[in-house]
Amino acid sequence: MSLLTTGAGVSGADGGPVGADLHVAQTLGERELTVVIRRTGPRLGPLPVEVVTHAPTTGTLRLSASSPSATTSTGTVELGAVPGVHRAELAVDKVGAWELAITDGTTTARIPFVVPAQVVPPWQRASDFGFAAAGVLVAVALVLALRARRSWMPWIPVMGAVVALSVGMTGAAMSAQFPPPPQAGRDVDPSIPAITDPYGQVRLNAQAAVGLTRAPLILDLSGAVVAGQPSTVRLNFLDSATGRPADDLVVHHGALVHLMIVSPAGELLHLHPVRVGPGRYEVTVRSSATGVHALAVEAGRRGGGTQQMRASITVQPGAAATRPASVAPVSDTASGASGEVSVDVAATGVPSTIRSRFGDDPTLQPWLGMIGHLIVVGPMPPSGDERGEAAAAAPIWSHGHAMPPAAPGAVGGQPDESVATFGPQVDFVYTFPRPGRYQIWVQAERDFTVLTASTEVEVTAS
Amino acid sequence: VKMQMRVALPALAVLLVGALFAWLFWSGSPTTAAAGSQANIGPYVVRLSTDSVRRGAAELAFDITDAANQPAEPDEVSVEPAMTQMGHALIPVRATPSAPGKYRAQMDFEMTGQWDITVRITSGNETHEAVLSLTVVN
Repeated sequence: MSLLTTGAGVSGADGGPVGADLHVAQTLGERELTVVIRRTGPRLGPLPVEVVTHAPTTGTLRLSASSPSATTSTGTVELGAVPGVHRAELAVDKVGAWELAITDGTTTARIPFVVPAQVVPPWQRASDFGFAAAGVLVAVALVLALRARRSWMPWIPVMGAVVALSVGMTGAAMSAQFPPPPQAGRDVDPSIPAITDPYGQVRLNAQAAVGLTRAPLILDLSGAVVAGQPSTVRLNFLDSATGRPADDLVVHHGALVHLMIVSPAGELLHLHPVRVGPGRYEVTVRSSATGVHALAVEAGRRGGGTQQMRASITVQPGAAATRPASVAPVSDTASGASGEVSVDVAATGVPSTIRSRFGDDPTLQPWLGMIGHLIVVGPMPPSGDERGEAAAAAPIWSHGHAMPPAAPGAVGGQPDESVATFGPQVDFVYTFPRPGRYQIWVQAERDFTVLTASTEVEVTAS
Repeated sequence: VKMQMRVALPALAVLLVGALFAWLFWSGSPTTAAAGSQANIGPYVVRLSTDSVRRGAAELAFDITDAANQPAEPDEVSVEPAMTQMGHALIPVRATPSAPGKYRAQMDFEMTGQWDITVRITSGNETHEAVLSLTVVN
């Protein structure tokens, strides 16, 4: 028997935006968490980390931040009965690719992040040097004007100063025009040269004359789900060109991987599998219903673009199986009565307005960076027990968002979940591509609890 | 001569200040340690000797040490280069030891860019894979 281990693979691992807070949703065991890694670098030192819970839960999570040849820093968070923000402070002491490991004792989620270096762009260098040289040359001209016997001598440094000034002013004026270099972690792999000399990547990509985008992902799904029991589903992501593990997923819409599951009863789970190794993800699913569950996975590789992968799993009967029955808490998703959805249905190819309302107070919080999430699945047969099977076969599976309004002057990225000022009305515009019956779900968050509302619509051909 | 000195000395001083400025601005180039990529995997630490090589034939040198920082001598070490951005991989090459814990492998990198170098270490019935990053430049 051979034992195969694969490295935590920090050097080329998945990651998120650099220079901004990193918000990552994680379904760790049966807890739905949002992990916020506050922006860090180029100054090294404290690394504030927040863990947001979305349901009452107790227990301790152990955190550790590590990078090859750096000092590993550890911390813990004590989760409380009240859902909300729990803080820990770790530290980083080196520029490069890091990994934040969070363990609940059973599963360890490994979130890659980048500690950026101080980078001086070439135009800023030219600008600084130009102005400094102009100053020095003006001083030389002054000295020469006072001391030189020949009247033409001061003109030489004056000419130099003019040239230096134009270099400086060109650099300063062009600064806003230059595109930023590829970002290590988001566009290219976070190797040390890519982090410390991003402009070198511009030269490299110019030489190779290829885009930054990569081959499509293959989803290799495994794991048996037994009704009524928390079951582990494994998602392995592979590079479709080489068959190697794809360890370059980036955070998009607040998660490395979004997994949506529709149960036989037509209930929606929106989960966020955790990265347990290079290209390897796991999620705990608990469903009390047996039968076919439809899955849609969204993930994006480094270099741009996201893709959707569809699959289905069949939940086997367990000791406590009932059918049809509700899907149990896994995501702490409250279903049903928490909100209402009404749709102003237009014919196919014409935009329809989907209006949802969650209570009466404007106290919704962003979840995954968005005020609301829209999931549209169809066309499929009218309501019945086999919604999972129908959803798995449905040709259309969409996931849209209602964005928070732009906050003028805001820095550091999106508003986090502590900002409870949105809603209660959340609207979407969606164009149904085919006639038929669709099921619609809208998700929002209040009091750190994820709310889900659902409806069905019949769309006619235009 | 005295007059010339009166001009030349301050001019020289000012030029020196200018040179100092230039040095301050240009030496701030963001080059940290030239050490290559490192990966910690199972009981091993694998470290490339460089983080970039030129396009074409290249010899990759790397160290493998154990947890106690002693040279490791596994049964077999192979090197599997792949360029993820382009979606292509090269034929794996067996690395040869040049000294305890020091390995070399001959490669031919046909394209500039970021490469993933997977070092597969086999000892007994255990296999470990370390993924290191290497930049190929022109």
